[in-house]
Amino acid sequence: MSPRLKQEPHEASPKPVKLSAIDEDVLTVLMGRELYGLEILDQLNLDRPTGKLLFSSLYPALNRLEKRGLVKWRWGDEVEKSGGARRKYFKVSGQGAKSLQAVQQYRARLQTNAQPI
Amino acid sequence: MDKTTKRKIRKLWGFRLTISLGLILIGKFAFYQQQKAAIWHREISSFSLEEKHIQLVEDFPQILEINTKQIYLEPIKQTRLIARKITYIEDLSWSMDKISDRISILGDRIQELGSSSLSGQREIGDLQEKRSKALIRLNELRDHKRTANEIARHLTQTLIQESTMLKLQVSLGSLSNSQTQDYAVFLAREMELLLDHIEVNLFQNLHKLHKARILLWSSVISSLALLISLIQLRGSWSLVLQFSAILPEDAAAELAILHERFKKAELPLWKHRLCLSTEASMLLIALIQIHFENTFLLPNNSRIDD
Repeated sequence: MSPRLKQEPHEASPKPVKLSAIDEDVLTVLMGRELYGLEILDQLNLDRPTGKLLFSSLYPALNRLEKRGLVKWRWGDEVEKSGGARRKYFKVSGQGAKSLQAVQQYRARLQTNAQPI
Repeated sequence: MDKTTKRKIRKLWGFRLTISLGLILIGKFAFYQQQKAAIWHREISSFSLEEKHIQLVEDFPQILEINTKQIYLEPIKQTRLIARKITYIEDLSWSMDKISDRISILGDRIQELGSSSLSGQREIGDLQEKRSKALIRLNELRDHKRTANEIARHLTQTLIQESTMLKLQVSLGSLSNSQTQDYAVFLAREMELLLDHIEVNLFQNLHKLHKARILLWSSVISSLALLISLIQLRGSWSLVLQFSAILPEDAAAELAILHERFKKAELPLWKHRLCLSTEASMLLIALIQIHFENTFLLPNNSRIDD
């Protein structure tokens, strides 16, 4: 799943990018830790109210986030458990963290403004 | 994972795919042949000769025999009878001539004796007695001859009539013979048509049925051979390694972990396989989607979704 256009994340870019609901969920799960696909799915499906997420949703979302420089990945070591195949570990990039933070702040403001007068 | 292993796994999947495709094709062919065999079998079992054809086959030799025999037999019999009767009349006529000759001899003898002596007188008396008897017999024979002549005349007339009839019958016979020939030609044509009908409906269908059965059995044997080779290929590599032939390494690793989880959960084998196949299909769909999205990426475009 190597990206056709691999961009360096814009750490210094002031403008956060738009995030879809699933992107936001994935970024939230990956915040501050490094996980591989199945672990991300496990975390997302823990108490998910809107139905179980599958690989068919997660992989395109990860691909999208990676293209936009919001997540980074690295190859793990070859382990016997995975039949000699290497896992891909994902983590949030600086740009990703910033975008997620921006969205979360926006939500918090919305909540404050929505309080009854 | 090293490149050699990957290549080997790809080769294994190539084999599997080819064998599976072969199996499907042969299976389809076998099914088609089975259907064809059923059709031919039905055609053959429902084959029957029409009533007129059965009658034709049964009557053909008899018809020919009757037509050739009856024409000549009767007139020949009649002619033979008449000829026999005429021979008898001729014999009768010859006997009469003989008696007449003897009477005239006796007359001469009487005249000779009359002129000689007394003892001769006695002999004359005997001879005259004999002569009168012979004359009576002659008269009787004359009556017979008259009757015989009448009969002979009648027979001759009959013979003439019979011969006319014979001629007529012979000509009729030749006519009938030509009719018989025509009829025989007609029958032969009918027989030929019947044989054609049998050949088309029975022999050809039988041939087709045999062909379909042979092809069916060969395809069944080929399918079995392919199935065995497919089974032999099974288990030569671990399941997860096999997935890496069609999926990227990271996706194969994800499936490997899932596989371990199912093993630990001690799920039934069919459920285990079903879940794993579902997840593999999901991953494949996701990868197709990713490739599709990546195809439309423009160069130097960092803002894909914005």
